[in-house]
Amino acid sequence: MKVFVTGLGVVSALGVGVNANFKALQKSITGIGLNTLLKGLTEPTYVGELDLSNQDMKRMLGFSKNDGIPRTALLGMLAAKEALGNTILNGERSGFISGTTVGGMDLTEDYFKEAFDNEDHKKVLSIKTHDLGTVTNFIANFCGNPNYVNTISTACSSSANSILLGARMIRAGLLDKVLVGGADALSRFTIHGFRSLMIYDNQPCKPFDAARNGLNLGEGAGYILLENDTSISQTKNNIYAELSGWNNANDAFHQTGTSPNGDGALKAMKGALNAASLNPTDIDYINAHGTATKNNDSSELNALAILFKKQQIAFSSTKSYTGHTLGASGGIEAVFSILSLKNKCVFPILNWLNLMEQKFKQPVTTYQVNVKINNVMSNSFGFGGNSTSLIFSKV
Amino acid sequence: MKAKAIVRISNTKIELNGNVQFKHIADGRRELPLKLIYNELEINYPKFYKMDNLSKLGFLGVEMLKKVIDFNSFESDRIAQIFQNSYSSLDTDVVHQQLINEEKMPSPAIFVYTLPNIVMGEIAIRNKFYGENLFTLVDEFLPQKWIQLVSLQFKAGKADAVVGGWIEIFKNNFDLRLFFIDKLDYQVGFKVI
Amino acid sequence: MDLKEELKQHLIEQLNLEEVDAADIENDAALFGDGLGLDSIDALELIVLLDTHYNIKINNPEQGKEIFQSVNSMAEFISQNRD
Repeated sequence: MKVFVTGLGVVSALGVGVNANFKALQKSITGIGLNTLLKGLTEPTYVGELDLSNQDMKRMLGFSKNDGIPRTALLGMLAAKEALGNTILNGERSGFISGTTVGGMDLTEDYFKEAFDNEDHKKVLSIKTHDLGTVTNFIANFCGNPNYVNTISTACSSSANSILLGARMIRAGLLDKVLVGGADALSRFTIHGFRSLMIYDNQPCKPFDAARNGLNLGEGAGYILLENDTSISQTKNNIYAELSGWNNANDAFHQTGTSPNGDGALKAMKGALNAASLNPTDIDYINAHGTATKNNDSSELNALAILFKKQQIAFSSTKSYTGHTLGASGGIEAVFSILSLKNKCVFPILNWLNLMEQKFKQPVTTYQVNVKINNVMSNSFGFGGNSTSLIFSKV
Repeated sequence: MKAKAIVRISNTKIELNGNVQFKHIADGRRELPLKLIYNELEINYPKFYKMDNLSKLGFLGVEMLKKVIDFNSFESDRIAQIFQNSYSSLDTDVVHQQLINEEKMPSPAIFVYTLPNIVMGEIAIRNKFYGENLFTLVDEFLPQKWIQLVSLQFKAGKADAVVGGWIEIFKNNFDLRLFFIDKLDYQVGFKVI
Repeated sequence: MDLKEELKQHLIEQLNLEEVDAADIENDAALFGDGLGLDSIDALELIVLLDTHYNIKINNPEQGKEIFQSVNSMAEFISQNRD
């Protein structure tokens, strides 16, 4: 049974909505800059931050300014709303699966700061929304009344795994339509953490560049609507692409580092190709995980070199536009991959100058149109060795 | 679907397939007996001490499973992991957050564990499991919902066995309900002890 | 306490080396690789250790390779760079 993508929704540092994001990608305009809304960092930090406050987003969504809604949920609702369009997400065979790592952290860490400084502080309601499941429920309730709701937290592959699980449930005949993807907001918690791992670049990140020095974190949300034929005959939605292959594997090497040859990445990509009944030569463009850390990019490039050998395949990382959006990255990059497919274009890496030591071709560095694109691969590799690869195909 | 093996570790219970293990350890004591279980199992794996409590709990559960299951009879990428909890990695998150609150240098070793799926990474590293791994967040453990995910795994043809279940830990309260499900048993009705 | 003995105590505590005694750590033995089997996260923890206990800041993790070769090399670096 084929699984089709019939809705796209995205929010990132590039803006709200598919159009805003697409325009920026076409014009090589980055969303990465020094933090402005997020306060309390030890030093100014390059991040992929959306220029809208929580209050702005609440207004856009029709919530009262006093509603205690975490930033992750607000980002998620904006993207989910766009992806659904006029489709109502209800009925026994409908679902919503969301990936996140930060959850309601933005409200909680503010609560802790104030509670720590001032014992009388009593805004304890703000931490009610901390956990990941609550954020998912917020978005689910906003979207309708989906029957199956689940939250996935597998680090940077969270929303890619949400997409995988949704597709699997459709193919297993359990659901007909499911909104899948994920959301994550910026937080001091994660920025401090990545700095302690010394993989945070003090400059805008340079994926797949020999001189790369780490990642920049970003925030956002990306959701796609998956439907089977039965559902489409009712919703009458247009089809953007077919989700033709998916696979997940574990690198089994280190808690956060990746194996030198990207074993997990290779397994995930090979598995996705098998699932789609495609060969490496059928892939026209790869939206790589490409976080710009020394380790990931080296492992991933080695895996690409092993799988694609001398193939002149176009690949890039859009994290130089959005930053690494953690749990949201799989969802956001799924949307970008489908944009590439639909518009026959490939997006360049920004800030790229130096070829890496691996014997593999350089990434795409200029925006290209009228490219033959039948199949796009999107990679998401998370801490804990959790590696996922998705393939979107032209219909 | 029948579970080929079940491990339970909680404040008052350490059981393998319903049989009490290490009786002297689980007596509802306030400190976690994870180190004691590690000693009883006589494993030589110093990396254990670097793990956070969630990872230690999952790791030990799987070590106990190995007393009755031979993982070598499966291909390394055909054993999938599917875990669930409601607290995510909160037990470790609070430690990381506290360092930030006190304006101390965050510890990279602690930050590594502020994701619930790292426990699956530790299990994968130890046992060389290259298969699928999924961690979902739910309010409480509903066996039928978990089994549904296991069924999907088998139906998709991606695994010959699944290791996983419910793994919850916060401060000194912990609850591991770990199952090993063999695909060959998946047609039969499932029983949760 | 002798700096090297102090360092060994710090190592055991900071890196959760529960089964190791200070007496087990030779001053010139390799800490990484086969030695104590430390990994990349341990190297980062040692950077935190230098900052917390000796007020020495390391900005480039690559520097760690040389500094953290052994207890001897660590002690030498600290003696030269501490306030």
